[in-house]
Amino acid sequence: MKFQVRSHVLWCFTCLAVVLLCAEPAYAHKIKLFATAEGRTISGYAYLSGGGRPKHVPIDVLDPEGKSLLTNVTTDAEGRFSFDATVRCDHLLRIDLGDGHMAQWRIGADELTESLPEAAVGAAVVPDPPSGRDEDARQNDAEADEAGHRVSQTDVQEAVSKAVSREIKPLQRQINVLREQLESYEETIRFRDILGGVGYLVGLAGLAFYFLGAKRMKAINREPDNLSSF
Amino acid sequence: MHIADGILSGPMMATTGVLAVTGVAAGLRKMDYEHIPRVGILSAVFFVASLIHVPIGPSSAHLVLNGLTGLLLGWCAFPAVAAALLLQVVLFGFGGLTSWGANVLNMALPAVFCYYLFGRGVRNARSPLRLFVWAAGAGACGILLSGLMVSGTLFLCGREFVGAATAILVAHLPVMVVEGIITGSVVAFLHRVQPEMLVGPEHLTLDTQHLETREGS
Repeated sequence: MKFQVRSHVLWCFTCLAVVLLCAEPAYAHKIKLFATAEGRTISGYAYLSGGGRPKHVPIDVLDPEGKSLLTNVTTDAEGRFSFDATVRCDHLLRIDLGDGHMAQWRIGADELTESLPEAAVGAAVVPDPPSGRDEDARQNDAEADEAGHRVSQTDVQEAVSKAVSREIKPLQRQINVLREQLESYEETIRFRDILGGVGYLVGLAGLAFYFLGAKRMKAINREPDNLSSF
Repeated sequence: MHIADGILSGPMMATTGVLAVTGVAAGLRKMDYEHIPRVGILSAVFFVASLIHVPIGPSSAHLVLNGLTGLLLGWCAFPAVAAALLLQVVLFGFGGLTSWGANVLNMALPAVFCYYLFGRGVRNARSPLRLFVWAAGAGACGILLSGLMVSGTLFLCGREFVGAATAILVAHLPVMVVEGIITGSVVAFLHRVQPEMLVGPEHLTLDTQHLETREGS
């Protein structure tokens, strides 16, 4: 069968151009996990970058080393999940779709409230509250009781803390949205990635042409009268 | 279809890596000067195919096109798929570097199977319809075998086979249909425009009258 290398190569380049033009930037086909902690509640959602939420998929919650299972939770119809932590340690959340797709997210111990016990469940240790502040508060309380109308130190502290967390809530929400947008941005596949990949393949093909061509020419030069056999 | 990092055990990574490299070496040995454009273009098509999503309900699957790759390349599908997969990991984040070997095997081995199962049917098809059907079969079979191999790989990692296999195959049924149609159309088009592309690598011979030689004969 006749075989024309030149038209073959030309045709391949045309296909390449068509392929490149048709490939619109897309998202990496991955599952991703996202979670935040508020107080002792860890909540978040799983999503497939490129759209869609995995429904009713179990998520394993593991200890900081990722070895033992602390608890597990299932995503709802929107891919969301939520549970209460019992220990103030790093929580490693892992979702596995069972078809080769997996994602992890780590919640740091410092994201959880300080009122949770530090040690592992079983050795119930209640952390000592900062004693200095308490003594001052007790002293002021005593003074306030004497005065009668003065607002106590602890009341003020509680009110301030409540007000601050109320003001911070919208900020936290915005930060979460930003985090998700950042993740999304990192996952976007750009045209330059596609171009880069195809460029590498063209380069590899070029190398192959060189090496196999040199081998072919050497063989031809060794037997110049026997061209039809190549 | 791509297995991510962190799923395979150490021994599995090593075994699949070695097997994948062996496959690539076998493919490179069979590759000759005439095959290079074909291998290059199909590698690029495979590389880009995973970006084309087939929406199915809540999640979506992506095209693989390993049936087409195998049909046109035979054993040379191994180097094509291996290079494209490596670039997909590095540039797109699909799959993982540690699971590269497993992914190469799961996608290139079915490609080679499709070459042997459907190649003769495609080459000897007596009508355009038969050609389309044989090629579509190759396209769908590529996905089917890949799905089974991925389930097998996950089973060897301690997951349950039947559950994973059903999930993967059901999710990829629309992909099988779409790939069958695409492979059939591409092969039918090639048959009209450049039938040499359909000739299996082993059956190619070079007509040296179209090559410029030293003597200029």
